[in-house]
Amino acid sequence: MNRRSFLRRALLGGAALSLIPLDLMAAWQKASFTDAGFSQAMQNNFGTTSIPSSDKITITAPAAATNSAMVPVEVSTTLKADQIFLLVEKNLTPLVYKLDLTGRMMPYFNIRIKMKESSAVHAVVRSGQKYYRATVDVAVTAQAC
Amino acid sequence: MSAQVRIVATEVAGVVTAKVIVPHPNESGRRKDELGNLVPAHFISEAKGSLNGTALFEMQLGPSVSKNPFLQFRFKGGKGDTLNVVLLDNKQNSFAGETVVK
Repeated sequence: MNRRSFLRRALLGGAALSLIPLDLMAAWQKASFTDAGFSQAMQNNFGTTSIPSSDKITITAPAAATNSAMVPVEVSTTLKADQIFLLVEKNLTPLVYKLDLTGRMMPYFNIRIKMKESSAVHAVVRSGQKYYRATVDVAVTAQAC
Repeated sequence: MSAQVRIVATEVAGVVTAKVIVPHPNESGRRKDELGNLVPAHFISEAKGSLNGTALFEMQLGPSVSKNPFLQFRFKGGKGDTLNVVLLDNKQNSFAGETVVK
């Protein structure tokens, strides 16, 4: 290998290497947090847009939120959950969070979220490789964002 | 970014309720400032919790979370356990907090 081809290969290799870490670091799944609308978000996260609703999931949220920049949303379930998702149908980025639980965690999560406008709020729980859903409507009376 | 993550964890009948508050602007990237310029996205995108060094939960968060994110969760544990929470924002800044369950 002469000097010229060595340099060329080193350059190519370096360029290739510099691309890899970007992919590895993308633990944050961009597709899950799509801004292409609610049905696309459902498709990207669950592979389907129709998830059966379950009365074993409870969403506690104000029916009317006075401050849309800080809406408390509490999700709990009596299902044996290993994942919980929260989606706001009309937000530009519908998915709020995706939570992976270990056995020690109780299937409960409370968070404060932003809402663009009055919208349905969906909680999706994965239990035994199946998804279940609950929905509440939250009306926003004062807009912040 | 020296602001500290605040965690409070209390145990009642074998179940620990933990509250986490992270001082963070959590900009969605959609808001405009007074001059009409878009404020760049800057939000907490990942969170991880562990109890006595063992993983408890892992989560990914989107830009729809409120400013100064507030997270509350429950797990099985006892007094004296050490709860550690690490958060990462979309600019790769990390924030961490640790507390002993009371």
